[in-house]
Amino acid sequence: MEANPGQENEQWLDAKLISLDPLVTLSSIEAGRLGAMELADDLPDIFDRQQGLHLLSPTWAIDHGYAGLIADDINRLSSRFPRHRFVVLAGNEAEQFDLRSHGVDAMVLNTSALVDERIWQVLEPSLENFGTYNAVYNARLMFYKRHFLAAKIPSLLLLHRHSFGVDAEQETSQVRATVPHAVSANERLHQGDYVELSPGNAAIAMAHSRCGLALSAIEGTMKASVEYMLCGLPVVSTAAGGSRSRYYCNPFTRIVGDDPDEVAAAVAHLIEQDFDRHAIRNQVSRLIAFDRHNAMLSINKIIEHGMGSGFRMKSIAPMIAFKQHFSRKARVIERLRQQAADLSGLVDGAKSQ
Amino acid sequence: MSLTGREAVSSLESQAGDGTPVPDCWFAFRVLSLSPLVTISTVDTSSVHLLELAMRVPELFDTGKGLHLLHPTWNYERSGISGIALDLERTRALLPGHEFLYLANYDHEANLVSKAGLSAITTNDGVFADEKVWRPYLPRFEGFQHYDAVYDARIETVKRHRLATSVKRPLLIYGHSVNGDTEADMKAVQAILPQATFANHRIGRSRYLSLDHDAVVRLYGHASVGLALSAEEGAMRASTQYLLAGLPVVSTHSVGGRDRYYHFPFTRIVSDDPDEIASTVSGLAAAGLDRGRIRQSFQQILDFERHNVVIALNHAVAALLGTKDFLRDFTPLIGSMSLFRHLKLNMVLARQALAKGTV
Repeated sequence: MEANPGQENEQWLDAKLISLDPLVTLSSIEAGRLGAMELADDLPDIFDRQQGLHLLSPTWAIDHGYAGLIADDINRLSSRFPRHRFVVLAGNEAEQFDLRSHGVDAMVLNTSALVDERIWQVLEPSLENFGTYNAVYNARLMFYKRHFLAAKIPSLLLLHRHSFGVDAEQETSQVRATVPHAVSANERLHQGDYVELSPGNAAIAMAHSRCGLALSAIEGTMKASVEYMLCGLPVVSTAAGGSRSRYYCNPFTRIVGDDPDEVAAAVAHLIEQDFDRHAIRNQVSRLIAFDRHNAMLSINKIIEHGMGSGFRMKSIAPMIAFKQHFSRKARVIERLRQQAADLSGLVDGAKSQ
Repeated sequence: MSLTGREAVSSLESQAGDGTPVPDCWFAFRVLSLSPLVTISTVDTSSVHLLELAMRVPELFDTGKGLHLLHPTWNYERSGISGIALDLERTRALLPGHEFLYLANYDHEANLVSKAGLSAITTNDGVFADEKVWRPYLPRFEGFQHYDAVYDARIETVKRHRLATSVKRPLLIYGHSVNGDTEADMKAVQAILPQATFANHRIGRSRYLSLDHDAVVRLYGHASVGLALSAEEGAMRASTQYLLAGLPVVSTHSVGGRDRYYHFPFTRIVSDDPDEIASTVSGLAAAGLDRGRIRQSFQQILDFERHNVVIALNHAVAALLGTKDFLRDFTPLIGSMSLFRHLKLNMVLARQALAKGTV
C-alpha cells in the first residue's frame, strides 16, 4: 500500500524523472527534505551529471520561516552539485514572494494544476444504495483537517486515507466522533470495512455529493479542492494558509469563517445555486490550462538560460498526476531507475532512426 | 488637453518647481496609499524612475517607510540587471527604510531581477489593462474600411513591421517615434508595406496625430486579427488590448512575457516568416471567431491573475510594512501602468495627492 507519509519513520515522497539528457527531475519536499536530491547517493548513474534542473515541490505551505529552511537546504545541495539548478514550485505568487525573499529560485506552479483530469471527471451517481450527500470531505481523519467544522451539514460523505503519526488510531476515532452522522465512503463501499479508494473510485463516490469541503487552517495546495471542481462540485473552504485559494475566484467557491453554522449555510447556499457541473469543470480546467502553459514556459526558459540546452519540454504530460501517490524511498528509487531506462531507450531509439 | 502630451508638460513648468531643468523622463506612476505609503511605477532596463521623483518631491517619501512596486517596460534577458541594480542602489540610499517589490512579467524575470536584491513576484503587465476601455467595437470609424490585421506598435526597428509584408490589408497604429523622426520612420515603413493604412496619418490628414485609447480601440474594431511581431520587448501592452477587444492574435516567438496569454486557440505563435504570418492571419480571420467570446475567455484569466496578485500583494505588504488586508480587490491598480507621463507631471500629481491627503 502506498501513500502513508510518516509511517515507520521513513521518508515518503514522490519523484519523477522528466528528462535524462538534460537531467530534469520533479520531486516533493517533505518536512524540509529535498525529495529526489536525497536519493542522489543511491542513483549516481542518474544524478552524477554536470548539470541538472531539479523542480522541488513542497507538500506543506511555504511561509517565511519555511522558505528560509528550504534556502539552507538548497545552498547545501548547491555546494555539492554546483552546476545544478534548484527551482521550487510555489503554490501561488505569495509563496513566490517568500521564496524569492530568501534568494530561492522559484516558479509558480500549484501542484493542484497537475491533477489528472482524466480521472477527476463529472460523473453521474452510479453506486447502488450509496445515497446522496450535501457535502463531501476528502481528507485524512486528522485533527488539522478540522472535520468538526462540518458538524452542522445534514448529510456528509467522508473520503479518507489512513491517518499517520503517533496515536493515529486514537486521532481517527476522535475526529470521527466530531461528525458522528457522517458516512465513510471507504467503509460503505466495502460492507463496513475500511478500504483504500483508488482515485477513480473516489471520483465515483464524489458524484454522489453536491459540494466539496476544504476545512483545514493550513496545509499545502490541497489537491482535493481542485479535484472536487474537476468533478463539477462547488467548494466551501475556510480561510487557510497554503495556496488552495489560488483557484477560488469563481462564484462556485466560497471562503467562510471557522464556524460550523457558516460552513453549513454556505454549503446549502451553493447547492441552491444549482451550478452546472460541467461549467464548473470547464472553468477550473481553463485556469489549470493557463497555469500549465506558463509552467512550461518557465521550465523551458530555465533550461535555455540555466543549462544552455536545446532541449524543450513540449508537453506537461510527464508531470501529470505528480503526488497522486507518495511512496517509500526504496520504491521511488526503483521507479526512477525504470524511468531512466525508459528515457535512455527513447533516446537510443531516436538516435538509431 | 491631453495629460500625456508634451504640450502639457511645458504648461506645467511653473507648478513643477523652481524652473530647474528636469530630465526628459516618462514613466507611469500612481500613489496607491499614503498611509502606509505604497506606490507603483515603471522601470526600464537601467532606470528606477521613482528615484527622480523622490529627489524632487521628497516630502512624499518622508514617511520613514514605504513600499514601492516596480514594473518593467522592457525585459532584462539581453541587457542583464547591472543597470537596474545600480539605480536601485541609489534609490535605496535616498530612501532608507523603504522597501521595493518588483512585479515581473514572468517567473524567469522574477528570478533574474532578484539577483539585484529585489523581492519579486510575477505580475504580468496584462493585469493592469482597463477592460472598460479595451472592449469590442463595431467598425464605425469614419474613413476606415476592413483590415485583415492591425498592428499597434511604434514604428521602430524592434517591432519588425517588415514581417507584415504578406498581409493583404494591414492597419498600422503607432505612437510617435521616441528616438527618431516619426515622419521619416513612417515613410520608411510605407516603402516596405505599401499596402498598409497608417491610421495616425490618415486621421491627421497626412500629418502624424497622436490617438487616444478610445480612438485606438475603435480602430481595432476594423481589423480581424492583432499582430505582435517583435522578437523582444516588454510584455507588449497592445497584445493584451487586442484580446480584450476580442481580436485573435498572431505573434512571433518573443522574449518579454507577452506569450503568457498565448495558450488559447485564438492565439498563434508563428515563425519569423511573412508568408506564415499572413496565412495564419487569413486562417483566423476566416474562422469568424466571436469577439465577445475571445474577450470573455481572456477576462476570466485576467480575473484569475488579479485574484492571485491581490493575495500576493497583501501578503507582501503585511510582511514588509505590517499592514494587513491592504487591497480589497485589484481596482486601484487597473490602468495604473498604461499612462506614461513626464516626470514634471508626475511631480505635480504626487504633490496633489499629498496635499489632498488621500489618493
